[in-house]
Amino acid sequence: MIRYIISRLLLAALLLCGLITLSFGLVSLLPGDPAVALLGEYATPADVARIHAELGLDLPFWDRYLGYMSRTLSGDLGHSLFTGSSVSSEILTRLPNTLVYLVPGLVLALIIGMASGTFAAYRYRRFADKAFTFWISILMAMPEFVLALVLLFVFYQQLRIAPAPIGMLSSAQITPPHVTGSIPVDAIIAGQWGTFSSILGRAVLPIVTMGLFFAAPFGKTVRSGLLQVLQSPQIEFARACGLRPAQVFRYALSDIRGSLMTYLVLLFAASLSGAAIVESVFSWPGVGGWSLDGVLKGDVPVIQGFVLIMGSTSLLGYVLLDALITLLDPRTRSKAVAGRRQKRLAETPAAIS
Amino acid sequence: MPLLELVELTKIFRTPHGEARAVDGITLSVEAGETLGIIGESGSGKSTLGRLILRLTEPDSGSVVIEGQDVLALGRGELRRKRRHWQIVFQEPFASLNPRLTIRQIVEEPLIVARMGDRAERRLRVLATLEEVGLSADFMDRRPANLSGGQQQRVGIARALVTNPSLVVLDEPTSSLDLTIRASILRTLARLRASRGLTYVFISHDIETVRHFCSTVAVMHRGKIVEVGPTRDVLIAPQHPYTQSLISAALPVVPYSAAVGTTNSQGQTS
Repeated sequence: MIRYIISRLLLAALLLCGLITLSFGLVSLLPGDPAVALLGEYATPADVARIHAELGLDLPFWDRYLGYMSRTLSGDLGHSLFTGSSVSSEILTRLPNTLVYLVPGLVLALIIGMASGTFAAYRYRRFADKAFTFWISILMAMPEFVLALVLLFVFYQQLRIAPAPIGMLSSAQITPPHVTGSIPVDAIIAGQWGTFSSILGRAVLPIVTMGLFFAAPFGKTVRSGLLQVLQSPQIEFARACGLRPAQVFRYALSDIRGSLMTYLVLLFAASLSGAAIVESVFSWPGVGGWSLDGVLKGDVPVIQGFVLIMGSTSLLGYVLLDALITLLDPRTRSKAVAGRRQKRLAETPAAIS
Repeated sequence: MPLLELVELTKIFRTPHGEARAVDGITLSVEAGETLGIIGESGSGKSTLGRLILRLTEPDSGSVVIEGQDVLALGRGELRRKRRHWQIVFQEPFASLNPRLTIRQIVEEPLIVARMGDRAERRLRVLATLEEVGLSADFMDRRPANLSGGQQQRVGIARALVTNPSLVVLDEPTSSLDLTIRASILRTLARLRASRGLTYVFISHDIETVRHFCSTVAVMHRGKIVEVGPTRDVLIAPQHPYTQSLISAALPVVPYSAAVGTTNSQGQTS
């Protein structure tokens, strides 16, 4: 098992190098010259050359590539062209702000999707199933920013129970003492639970947006997966030999668990990019809105930093996923734990029919 | 008293294209120790009938009585506890076995559900049942994927028989197996029938199998039983035109015999 996880980690490390290469290639793929983006259309050739030298763009390809590679691997993601702030420290302070609503949002999506998809599968073709399919289609057709605006309209504008979409803290609140630079983390460290819960209160709408947005495709996957398993002879027999409905459901679920978990990791990767839009709507100071800003301005180090964060988070997700699936499935678990013993067993002649 | 009695059993599936009368007012009875073959083409409602008997599908109307027990009157909990007496073997051996469990776990599960015996007793019983269906103890710790189709179906049979049921529905148990294995599985089923005094409902579309295996045969067509009687009578002198066409559609066992000619002429008359 340990050997299996190590091999997965090695593969992930290789993929990470590939990811860094891609992120490096972004600079040349992106339209426009960073120096021109920085100085404006009317920059003199001398200024452009000076900026090129500053950014190291005049160096030979291999020097630039290897330099970028070693800097990135040592955690230095460069500085924003416009604000001059360090990209890695920006990410470190902003990532917790994103996670504070993204993780609960995905958990909410998991709960809603699981519950509604299961309910629909058990009520296949009845009213509940049709209602489910109807609402899912509507939700799936709706981009996340529309959903966010609808929620804002209803809960802020009309019902006035949600806070205004003006970020994480109101101006009246005292920011917690600077320790890590990330406000939610600092609030916890300083023990300012009032501040922290106010952040959570402001995060409710982003959480619900993410929850509903990702519950739709997840619920749909749960429904179609369960429908198929529930009709399989294996489950039919489980019912025929008198298993309790809860146990039958457990069997059905263990059959689709792997694919559901894979889908969840995919959704998580997608949600990081979806975060960009949602954060702009709620003026949330997370990585998403910040990177969107960087993309619009052509701030290359920021874009690269965001690509790297998204990519490596997904990579980490896939490694964890692989390990988890292997551990949960008795077939692959026994293979991963004691591959040789299994093989010897299979070779013993015991065939009768 | 017959072991199984069906009265006016009906199941209608409602689809967007209208109603499908899968099982349409079927009345049948099967004596203990008898084997009832149900034949008919695909879509004639054979499998639905098998599932209705075990109440795996809820019928729309009619009644099912097994060993004097009205199956449809049972509550959910009672039904689950009674299930150990009525079992089923499916057509697709691999799809009907949980791929995550070992053979021992698969065969032991019905015993656990029925709360029969302690660990040691269950183990012995699993071993004995596997032996009965022709599998050695070496199979206990394997998983379905490591078995051949015939072996998988033997596991399916062992699992159905381990709780010592009185009635077993065999839903095309040999259709997905090749000919030599088919024969050996049928021999095993026949041996178990004799040694345990089992009553089978044998669903099949293969006339030759039914001819060898069943004492009584019922011919189904579009949800109805068009002909029922002792196998020999029905298959040698079919009365209903549908039975005649079904028999004539079967390939003759001896391909170059004169039977080919008769088959064609019969096919045209029906």
